[in-house]
Amino acid sequence: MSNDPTMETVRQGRIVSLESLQPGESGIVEIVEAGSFENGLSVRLRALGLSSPHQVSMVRRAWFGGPLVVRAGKATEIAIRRTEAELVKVRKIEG
Amino acid sequence: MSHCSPAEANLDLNDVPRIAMIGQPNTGKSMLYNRITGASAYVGNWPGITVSLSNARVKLGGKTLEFVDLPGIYDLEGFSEDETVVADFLKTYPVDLVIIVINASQIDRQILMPLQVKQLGLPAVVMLNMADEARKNGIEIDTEALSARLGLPVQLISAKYGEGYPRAIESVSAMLEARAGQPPVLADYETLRSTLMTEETLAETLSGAVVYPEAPPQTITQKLDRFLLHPVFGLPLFFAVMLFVFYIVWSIGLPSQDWVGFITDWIQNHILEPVLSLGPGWLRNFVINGIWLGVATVASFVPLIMLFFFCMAAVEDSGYLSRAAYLMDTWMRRIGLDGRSFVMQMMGFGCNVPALMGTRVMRSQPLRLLSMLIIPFSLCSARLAVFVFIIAAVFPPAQGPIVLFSFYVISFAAAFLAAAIFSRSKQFRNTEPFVLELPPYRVPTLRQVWLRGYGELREFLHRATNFIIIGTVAVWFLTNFPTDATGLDTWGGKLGELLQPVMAPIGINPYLTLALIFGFIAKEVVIGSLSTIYAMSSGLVAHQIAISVSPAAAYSFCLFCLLYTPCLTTVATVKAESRSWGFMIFSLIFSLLYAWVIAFLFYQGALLLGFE
Repeated sequence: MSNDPTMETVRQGRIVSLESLQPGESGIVEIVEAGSFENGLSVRLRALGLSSPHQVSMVRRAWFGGPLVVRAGKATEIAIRRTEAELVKVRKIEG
Repeated sequence: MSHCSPAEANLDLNDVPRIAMIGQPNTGKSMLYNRITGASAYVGNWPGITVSLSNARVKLGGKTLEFVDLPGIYDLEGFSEDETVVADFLKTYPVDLVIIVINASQIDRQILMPLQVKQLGLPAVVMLNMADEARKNGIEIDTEALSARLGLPVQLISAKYGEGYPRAIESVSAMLEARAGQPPVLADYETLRSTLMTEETLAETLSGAVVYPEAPPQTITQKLDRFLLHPVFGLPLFFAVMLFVFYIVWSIGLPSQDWVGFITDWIQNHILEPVLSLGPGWLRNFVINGIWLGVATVASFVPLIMLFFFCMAAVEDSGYLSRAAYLMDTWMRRIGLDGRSFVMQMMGFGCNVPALMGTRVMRSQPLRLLSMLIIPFSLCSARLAVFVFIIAAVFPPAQGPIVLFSFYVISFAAAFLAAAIFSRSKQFRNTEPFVLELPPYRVPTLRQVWLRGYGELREFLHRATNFIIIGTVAVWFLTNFPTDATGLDTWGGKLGELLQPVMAPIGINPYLTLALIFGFIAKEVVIGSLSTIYAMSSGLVAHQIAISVSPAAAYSFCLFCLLYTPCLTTVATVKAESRSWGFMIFSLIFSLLYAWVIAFLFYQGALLLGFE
């Protein structure tokens, strides 16, 4: 694992999970991990415009651990559960 | 009726040109389909395809064409049930043309679909729908350049307002004209799989043909969402909106049942009775109390169902329903459901049937089955009528509203408890990620709401008529034989007494048992059948129940009525939507046992505590 450049960047803090973004922050999608959904999650997200190397931004975070609203690309707003957003790794855009 | 056409009719290999419509969800695909086909659409069962598809035969430019509305899918190669359905359809049924519907403001990601369809080797036309929205978002589209890149005709339209519609239809006719004489085509999924489509392919197709504004304009949706999706006020606002919908359905729909009742009574008194009085007495009795009662029951539902669907279509088309699912998901995921299940549960308060049909939005079959299992516990308006009657007869007026409210609470609690238990089993474990598109708010058009409501109503009638009429005929037989017998001496009464070993422990007497058996047909039948069973007018029945049934027994009766087998129409819907006899029987038996156990615990508990 230590040779994996993606994991290396994760350790350096540049790549974070989509779940960790704050409203207003955005990032470039690096990879969508499969989790327990096999291909299901990445295929669905790709169809909604949330795939590498597109931009995604956090719009709002519900309280009590509820789903997040993110904007993929130009115009698509997506509600996504935190556990699912955890699987989406993004390269955070600073500033 | 057109929807009764036999399934075999679809087996003919294209006696008229067949046109399939595909597109992602929320692209207005069905809206375009409705605009083309008007009210002529019907639901066809396609052999080998697991869900019913809507299709219609329409005359365009002097030619009869068959349109098929395929489920909205995100990806032609996807794995969800709907995506399998589309793939199976295109591999099984040759088509003459595919209409690909695309949301023009999301063209950057949806352009993948026409590229895929081309790889499938199917002749196609691309409809860029929602031109009005794209304009509002400042997106400029050069359809001619795009058409040249794709090698397919591209039309910019607005299915909602009819913009560009005549030209789009012309291009459909022109495509068919150009293909005249060529045989219809089956999809070639092998070629699609061996073709690698990358981000560059998409970018190349669009570059120069589609121009996005530098900064997207702030939309009304963003402003509205600040309130409607508020972390604290969002949920109360949603409940207020739903309450308002129920209020409309309640205040217009329930009285409308009386108007229909007035009309059916008039027909009975002025047409049926005089005509039938010429024949023998048993025939008159059978036609009036056996068949006509069933017809009148179904008819009384018509305005309620229609109104309910008008309201739900308006709420859904506005884009609010998917936001409600977002708001409720926080709580529903804890019991193995998701936000959409709750929305359906709410819909069930009007009538379980449309709520069951609404689960079609779910793509995970286990999740869908779990939702279908718990929706029948929603306290529908027909059960409400039974409760109001019993509560008024047995409980003091001051306690009435509290008792009624307790049933609403129990309705939710019972559903959530069942979900929490069953979601642990493998068959009902949700395998679908919760990822939901939140479309921008849109103003629903009257035309669309009307077409939706009308279509759903027709489907309801198709299902309801057979079942309810068969059911009422059965009631008639059980309460009229042997001849001249009344009350407990009829076959039905004997059946009630036979079941006493089971029903006595939950405090339900033979008369009420028989009413529950009839309630299986439709809960509306319960009150009416009590008069037949007790052989008294309904006012006297209320009095009789007041003196012979204890409050604890009455509450137990209502509990059982709330949770046991829903009406036949609901059962038929469960069968139709799950497409499984096994699941339907399971849901029947489960709810019977569940109702009995809960009523038993309550009644015996009440006896132990010293209530009579």
